[in-house]
Amino acid sequence: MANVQLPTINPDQDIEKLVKQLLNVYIQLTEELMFLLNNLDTKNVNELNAEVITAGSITADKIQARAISADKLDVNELSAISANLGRITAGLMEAVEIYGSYISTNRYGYPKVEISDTQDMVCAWKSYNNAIQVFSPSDMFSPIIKFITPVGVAYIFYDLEDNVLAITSNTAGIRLSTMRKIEFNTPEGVYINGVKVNP
Amino acid sequence: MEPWTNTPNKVKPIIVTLADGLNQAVESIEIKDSQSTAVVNMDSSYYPTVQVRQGYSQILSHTGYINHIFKFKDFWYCGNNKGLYKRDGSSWVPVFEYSYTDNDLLWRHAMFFDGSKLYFVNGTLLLRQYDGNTVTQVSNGPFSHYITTYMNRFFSGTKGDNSLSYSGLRDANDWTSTNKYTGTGEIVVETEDGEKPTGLTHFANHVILFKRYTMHKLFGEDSTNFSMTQPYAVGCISDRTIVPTRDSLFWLGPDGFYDYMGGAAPTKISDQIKRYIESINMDYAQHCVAGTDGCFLYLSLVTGSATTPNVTLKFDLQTRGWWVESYVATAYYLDGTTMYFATTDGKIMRMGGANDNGVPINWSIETKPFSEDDETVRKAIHKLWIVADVETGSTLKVDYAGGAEGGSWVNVHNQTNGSGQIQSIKIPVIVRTPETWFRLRLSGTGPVKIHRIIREVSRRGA
Repeated sequence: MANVQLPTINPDQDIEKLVKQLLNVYIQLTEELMFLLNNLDTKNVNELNAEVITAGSITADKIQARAISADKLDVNELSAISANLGRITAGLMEAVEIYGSYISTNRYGYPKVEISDTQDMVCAWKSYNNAIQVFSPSDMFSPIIKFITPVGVAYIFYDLEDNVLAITSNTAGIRLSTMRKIEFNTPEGVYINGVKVNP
Repeated sequence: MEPWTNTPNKVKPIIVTLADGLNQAVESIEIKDSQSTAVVNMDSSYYPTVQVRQGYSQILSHTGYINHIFKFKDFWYCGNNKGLYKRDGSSWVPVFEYSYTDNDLLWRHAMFFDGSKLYFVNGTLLLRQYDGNTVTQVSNGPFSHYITTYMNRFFSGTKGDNSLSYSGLRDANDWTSTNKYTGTGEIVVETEDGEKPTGLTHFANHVILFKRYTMHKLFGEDSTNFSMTQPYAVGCISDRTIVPTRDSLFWLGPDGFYDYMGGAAPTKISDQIKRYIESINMDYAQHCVAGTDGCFLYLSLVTGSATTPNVTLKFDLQTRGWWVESYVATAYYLDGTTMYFATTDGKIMRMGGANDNGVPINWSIETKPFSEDDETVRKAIHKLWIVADVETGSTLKVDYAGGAEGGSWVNVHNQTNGSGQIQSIKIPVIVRTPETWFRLRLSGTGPVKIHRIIREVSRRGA
C-alpha cells in the first residue's frame, strides 16, 4: 500500500493545536511506515538487486513460465540438465553421440530414412509402401534386408539354421542378368527344387 | 501622602465572558471564570460571546421512535422502530416494514461508488440494496449490524461475530469471489476480553472496527496484506455516536466521549460533562446518538432509567466547550449546511430560527462561585454591568447568590423586553451579608447575546 495520505497542517493556528496536529501526523506516519515495512510489495519498490536473496531460496513456483531465456543459462553440456529434453529443434549438431533414439529424416512425409533401436532397425522409405528395411528377426536369422513394394515383398538374409544366404519372395521373381558370365563354384553342387544338377 | 482608605475597599472592575461552556470535571470553585456550573440552551457560536442557541422548526412528521434520517436522491428517508420509510409527496412509503414495533430496530445505511444505490441493515436483516424504488437482498450478502464503504469495498461487522467481512473490489454484490487481490474475505478480530464488535467506520484512510473496550485500525488493501494494528484500549458503546469531522473522529466510549485524529491515541473530551456520562443507562447505550453540523457536535445520551435518548449536549469543535440543550434528538442528519434531527415521537426538525417550533427558547446560565482570587475575606458585589444584546421580545433576568453552592437566589434585574441593540446594563446590587464566594445566574426567554459581565466588588477587612 503505497498510497499514504497524511492530513495537511495549517501553520496559521495557535501553537497548542499545531503541536497536537504535528504529534498526530508523526504517529500516523510512524504507523504507515511500520505497515509498509512489514508489507513491502511491488507498489512500494522501484528497483531491487539480488544481494539480499538467500542462496537457494528461489523455488520453481516463483519463476514465471517461459521466463528464462537461453542467454541467461550457463550450461556447458546439456547433460547438466538432468531432464527429458522433450521436443527440441536444432540447427547443427556436431560431435554428438545419440543412444536409444528413434531418428527420422522427415517427421511427416517421404522420402525419409529411419533409425531405431527396435526390431525395425533401419528403413529407407520412398513412400509409405515402397522401402528397403533392415530388421532383426527374433529367430535364427541374421538381420534381414526387406524390400517393401506395392506389389510384394522380398528378403535377403543369412539363414543360420540352414547355413545359406537366402533371397526369397512370395511374389517377385529373381533375375540375374549380366553382359559377362555367371560362375557357380561349389563343391556340393547346385540344386534346383531339391534336385542336384550335374553340369 | 495617600489618604487613609476606609473599608470597604473597592477592587477594580473585573471583566468576564461566559462562553467556555459547562464544566463538571472539577469542583465549581476550580473551573475557569468563563465556564459555567449549569447552562441550558446557550452556546458559543459567537465566541467569546455567549448567546442563546438557534431554534428549530418541524418539517416532517412520522410516528414512533425515529432513529435514522437521511436523504437519498433528493427524497427524505426515516427509519423508526417499525420500518424504513421514504417520503414520497406528502406521505411516507414503506421501503422495508415489519408488522411489529421494536426500539432495537436501529437502521444504518451506506452508499457505494456513484451513489445510485444505497445499502441498509438494522441488525436483523441480511444486507439489502435499494435503488430508490426496489429493495433486493444482496445475494450471499452478510448478516450485518454495521456497514461502511472504503477503498472500493464494502465492510460489514456484526455484534455476535468477531469477523470483519469485506466485499469484492468495486462490487457490493460480490461476497463469494476468492481472487486474492480483488476477491472477498473475512478478517478475524479477536480480543482477550472476548468482546464482540460494537461499531464500524472509516477515517483517515483506514477502516476502524470498535469493540466495547478496544479500537482496531485496519491497514492494507486486499487479502494479501490486510492486517489489524494493536488495538487502542478505547472502545465504543454506540456506533450511532461515531461521527467523523474534517480533523477528528468522535465516538462515545464506556467512560466518555472520545476524539481521535487518526494517529495519536484517542483523547477523552467529556470530563466537563462527566455527570451526564456517569448517568448513561448502559443497558440502552446503543441508542445514544451523535451528529455534527461542522461547528458543533451534538450528542444525545440515554441517562438514568430512560431507554431512548433523553439528554442532548453540544460540543463546540473550536472552543472545546460543552453546552446543554433542552430538546432531545434521536437521530441527526446534515444536508449541506443545514442540520436536521429527529425525535422519539416521530418528528423531523430543521435547526435554525429564533424559537423552538414556535415556542420561545428558555435559557439560563450559572457562573462559577467567584472569589476575586481571595478566599480569606468576605466580599459583596455592589455593581454589575451586563453587556448584552437582548432582542426585541426577549427577556433577561439576573440573579445573585452567595456561597459556593446552594443558598437562595436574589433577583437583581429583570428586563422584560429587549431593545435589539447592544447595551451596557448597569445593575446595582445591594448585598447585606458579604460572602467569600458569590454566583450569578442569567436567564430569560428568546434570543440574547451576553458579551461580558463586569462586576465591582467590595471587600471587608482587606
